[in-house]
Amino acid sequence: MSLPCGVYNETYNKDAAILRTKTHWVLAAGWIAVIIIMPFTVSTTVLSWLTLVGITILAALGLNVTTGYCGQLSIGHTAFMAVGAFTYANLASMGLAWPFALICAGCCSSLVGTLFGLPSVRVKELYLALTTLAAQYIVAWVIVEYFGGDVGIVPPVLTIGSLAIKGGVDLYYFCWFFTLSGTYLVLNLSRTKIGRAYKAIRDHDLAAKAMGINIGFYKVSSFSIGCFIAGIAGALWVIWIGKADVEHFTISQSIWYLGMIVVGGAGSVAGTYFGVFLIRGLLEVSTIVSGWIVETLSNLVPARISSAIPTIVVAAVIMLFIFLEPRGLNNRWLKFKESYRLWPWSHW
Amino acid sequence: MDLIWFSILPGIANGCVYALIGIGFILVRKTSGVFNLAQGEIVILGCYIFYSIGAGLGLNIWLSIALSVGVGLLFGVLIERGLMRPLYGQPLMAAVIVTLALAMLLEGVLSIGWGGDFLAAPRLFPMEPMFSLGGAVLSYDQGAIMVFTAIIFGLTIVFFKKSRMGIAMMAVSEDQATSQSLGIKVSRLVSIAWAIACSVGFLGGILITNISGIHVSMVEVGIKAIAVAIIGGFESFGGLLIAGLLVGVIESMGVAFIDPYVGGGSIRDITAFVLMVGVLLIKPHGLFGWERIERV
Repeated sequence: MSLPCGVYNETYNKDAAILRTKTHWVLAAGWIAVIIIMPFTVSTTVLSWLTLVGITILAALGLNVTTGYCGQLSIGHTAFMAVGAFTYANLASMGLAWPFALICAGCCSSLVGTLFGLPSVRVKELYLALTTLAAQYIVAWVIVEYFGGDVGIVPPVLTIGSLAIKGGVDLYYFCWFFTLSGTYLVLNLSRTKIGRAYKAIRDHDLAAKAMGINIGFYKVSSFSIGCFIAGIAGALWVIWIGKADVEHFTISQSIWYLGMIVVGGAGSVAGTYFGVFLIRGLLEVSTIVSGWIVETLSNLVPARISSAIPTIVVAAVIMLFIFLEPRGLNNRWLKFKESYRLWPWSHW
Repeated sequence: MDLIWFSILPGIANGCVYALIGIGFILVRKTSGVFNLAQGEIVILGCYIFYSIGAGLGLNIWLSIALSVGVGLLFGVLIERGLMRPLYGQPLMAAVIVTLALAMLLEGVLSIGWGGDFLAAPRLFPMEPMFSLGGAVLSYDQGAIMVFTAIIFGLTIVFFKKSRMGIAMMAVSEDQATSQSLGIKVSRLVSIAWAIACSVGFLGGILITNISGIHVSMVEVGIKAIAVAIIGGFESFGGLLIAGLLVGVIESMGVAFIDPYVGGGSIRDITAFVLMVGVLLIKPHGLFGWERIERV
């Protein structure tokens, strides 16, 4: 990362800090302030959407650890979310307190993720993608057969003390608390030994091995960590929507998550935020627009296009990004920052 | 004993379809290194196109099969030209994600074009059994699948052993850069690989329409074919065929012997995937694949 002219990192701590400059501090504080103030300025529909975005960001951050940092393509991310979702729903229905249920959700998901990540010790890149694709089918099947996925599970309403988290502002803060914690976790991870090992493996795994990195261990652990976050996100999803249902964790959703990572720029937290906002926004807007098209042109087009158009739009956007901007929105953001810094002599 | 016979014959028929569709997957993988994860949607697209030509336009059945396979060839070339060629030189992961996006795109297009209902395909063969063996019956549909698979595999093997283009393709699969320096036009061969991939996908789908009907859930057939290709390894078509038959038979055996102990669903939905994960853990290069040494 290049620093502006005249700014030096004088200590190692300063070099490794997450927030390195005053501008960083201002931006971070501003962003958190926006998140806190947001619920009081928007309608309940938008608030619910923002909660969904928070959960999605958390899930995408999990995928970012596995695919973005460590370079292990995972196509079955929602399968691991489903594990978390159903663990939470089952345990909460049995009467377990929510913090324990949430942690169990993360751990179970992490366990299943580790299991499906195990082939990564022996097989490379694309074969691994197929293992995760298999996970998508196997996990859904097992959940439907043995963990109440056939009818879905409605967990009891979550309460903190005497406050019931049913929706609206409470749920928004609850979810975004986890999103911000997850963001901090992932940012922190990227500057530790583990994070550096992940990036080395992503860039060239044989070279990383030659440098003495235990690539099998780190590849599997990227699944453990990514799936832990996914499990928590799955549990939050259940809390948000009020029901655990395998229909919410299909392969299309997994591809959407992958798309968010690609559109945002793999391996960057800011990129994950951009990607999630863009794809979730596109899904929302295209759903509204196609609903409007079906309503006004009801005699010309069949009603089924309202569910197909968002899929097509998102798929097309993912393709366009891979063709035109493979490094994602984060690259544009970096270029923008560069040009802002060099103004009025910016060359981008 | 009867139960075993009952499950082996349909199992072989299913396995043949997986192996047939797997040919395309392997060709694309070997020539360009890309995993075509849109295979499942391509299979359904083939079925729908066959339905539209056969039932919609009311053409002769065999003519409509030939036309659909022709459309498949074109479609494959189109994918290669439009989506894969701009990605030469990019990481493979980008190309794989594009095939995933293509799968989503096709899913949307298919649901707009044909809806989500079960469609009854035009019948290729009479419904009566072809012959019976130890109490188990083989229908004409299943028999036809086996015959077609045998023909296509025979043609493929001859193509790769005898024809100039087939041998060039083998060279490309061995080493892309070297074969390019020897004057082989790699991009054209990749194009042909995609064309073959789509047309065998179409054909495999069309052959089972009479057994399963046409529905979006047929996407699983294509994805299981990918699993079969992985299990067989990427080195020989014989290995692919054996893996296909193995998966088909084990799947049918599972339906016969394990399903009574499972709740509502059927083990057949996941057998191929469980086998694939198992094989990847034990023999990472597939049952008949070779380990290739890689250098930094």
